[in-house]
Amino acid sequence: MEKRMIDEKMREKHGKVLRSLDKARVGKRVIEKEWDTKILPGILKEIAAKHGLLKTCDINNPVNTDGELADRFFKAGWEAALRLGFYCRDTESIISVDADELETEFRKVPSSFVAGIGEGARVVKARTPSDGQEPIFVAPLSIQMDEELYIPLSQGIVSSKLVDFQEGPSLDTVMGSPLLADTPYETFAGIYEYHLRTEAQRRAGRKGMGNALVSSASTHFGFLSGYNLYEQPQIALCLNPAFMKINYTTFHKCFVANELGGNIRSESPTMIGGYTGGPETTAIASIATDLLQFPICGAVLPGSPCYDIRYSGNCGRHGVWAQSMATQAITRNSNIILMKTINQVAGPSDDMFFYESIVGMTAASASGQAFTISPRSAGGSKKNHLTPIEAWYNAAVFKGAAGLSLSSANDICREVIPMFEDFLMNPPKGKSFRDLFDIETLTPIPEYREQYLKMRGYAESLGIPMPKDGVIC
Amino acid sequence: MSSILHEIEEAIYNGEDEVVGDLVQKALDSGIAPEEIIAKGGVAGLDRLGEDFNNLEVFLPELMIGGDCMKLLIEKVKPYLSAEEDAYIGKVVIGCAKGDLHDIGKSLVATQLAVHGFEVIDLGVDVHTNRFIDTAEKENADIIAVSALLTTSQYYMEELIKRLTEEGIRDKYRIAVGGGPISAEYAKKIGADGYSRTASMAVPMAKRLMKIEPTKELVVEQD
Repeated sequence: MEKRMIDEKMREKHGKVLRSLDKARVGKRVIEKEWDTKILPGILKEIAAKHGLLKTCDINNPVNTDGELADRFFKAGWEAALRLGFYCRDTESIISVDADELETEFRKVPSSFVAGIGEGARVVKARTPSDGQEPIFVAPLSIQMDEELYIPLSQGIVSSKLVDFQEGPSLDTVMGSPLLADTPYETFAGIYEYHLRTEAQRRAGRKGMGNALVSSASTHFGFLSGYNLYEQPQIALCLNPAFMKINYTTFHKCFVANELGGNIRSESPTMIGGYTGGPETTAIASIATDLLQFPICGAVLPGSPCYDIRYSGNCGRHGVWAQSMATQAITRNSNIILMKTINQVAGPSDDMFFYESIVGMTAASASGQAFTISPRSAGGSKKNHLTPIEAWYNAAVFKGAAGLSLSSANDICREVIPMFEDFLMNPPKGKSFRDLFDIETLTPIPEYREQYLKMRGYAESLGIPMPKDGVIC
Repeated sequence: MSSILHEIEEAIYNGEDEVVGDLVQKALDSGIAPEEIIAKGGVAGLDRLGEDFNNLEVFLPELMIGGDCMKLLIEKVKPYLSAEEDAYIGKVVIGCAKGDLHDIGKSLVATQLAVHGFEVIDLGVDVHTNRFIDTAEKENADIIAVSALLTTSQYYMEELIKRLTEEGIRDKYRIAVGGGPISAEYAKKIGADGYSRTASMAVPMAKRLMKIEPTKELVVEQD
């Protein structure tokens, strides 16, 4: 084949990422601290004021029901995307996207993709608010588990068909050795995780199910070793180091994912109270980040969640408001397949976890989110604090709430948030997998089973249709 | 007198670094004690910032800029402090452990410590263990504070403590750890001196740490 033809093929697969790398190499140099503390906040605030969006956060109505307001946020996010671009940490420079490029790429962004093989394949499609289309649920987030629990936990979670794909958990040791970041242990972890995961899925009868990869590796080493072991198409986790920032780690992964025909997921949380300021400017930053993912790294599954810096979660009023606004802005105005995570802070077996899940998942699903990955039991901070029940519960709420009106979703959140918001800063950590499940039989202890069924009933009483998990009910 | 102190408070609150130096000099020239300038000018402004941050009226950038202004204030008054007084409660070298790029929690801790009287040297993210040690040695730090959100990076906290022990300098530094996967149990297991569950708890934890010698007990702030 002539080089010219090879180049054409390469341009088609890798042109975007190559272009972004070139821009990073020659882009405007900016000191990161200045970007974080002056440039970014200043421009976001200016744009919010220009579009009449300051002080629009209504914490008494955490799920936005004003479509016109969401559309204004979209316009603000578009402007922020053009004026800011992404900051490349490795080159300390800006990757800008001009108006023509943003417009062109926006029209080309895919509205669906497939992940998984054979019977395990699922089509992931863009949604709009309250459209009733069943969204995709992926479990769990990359919560740390003892390596001997990896297979039983994974098997337990994916034994319910409510879970479409698998992402976590993550390992912190590999065959007894510590999984040190940025070392060859990570390279091995990518390989090891493949073997553990495929065995778990085989045991659960879910051979061929799709995966979001690679969970147990923080840098690119684990991804580069592990990702290509899976039959494609899969979802490639090419996360950003921070919102509106990118680095060589992300680009390394994007090249591999694009070559193998993977679907890139890229995001990083925006923080209310952090560099993006209040809920309004945080929502704008989230929208801008999501708009730039496809043009800059070819991500077909963007989704920067909005967290509240005070408790590193997003099931409180400000978090729900910002996230619902950022979600609706995109889902009302684009074909982007949007995902955002819901970050619970309470741990397994505490009622608070279920309340947070109801709020976060209902707001997300009604607002048109196509895809989510959950749970984040105990904020992801307690090792082994994760069981299949949290995953099944979140899946049921997320899928069940897809057809709810925004007004109904808001009513549900207004009722449930007061039940836990006083505990967000100091949440209960709950119990571990070993405490709550028989690891051999993969069945919950009777008390936890009863609690799960009671909370399912509670969600239904609020008006959320709860699909059966196919395991317990 | 009170109006100059109020102006200093406002300059700190508003992050007006270009006027802080002149206002502080004006206050010193008018005979106001340096401790009063720090407390009623600088700390007053920082306290307001802290309260407004908790209420989401100001955000991390304002806190960081206020902290930078406070540094300028302290540098200005330092020569006027008596030999017994120290402008700072202690000196902290802080960073994210190797492999970890999540800086916002670390930046929040660094800022909170800076606005509450600590001299902070922020090494940023993905910090090699040796760099923590070399900087602490060079700066004669009191506390080395390591943050990790990733489980694959938290191992470097234990590595830091082991390295300090092997080099015979463990007793020189108080080691504080924190971040998502970190717990008081983990801090105890690796032989750290301090742990705080949240960024705001890092301040009382660090203040308590300064009252004890390294390796004597584990200081925990989590409730």
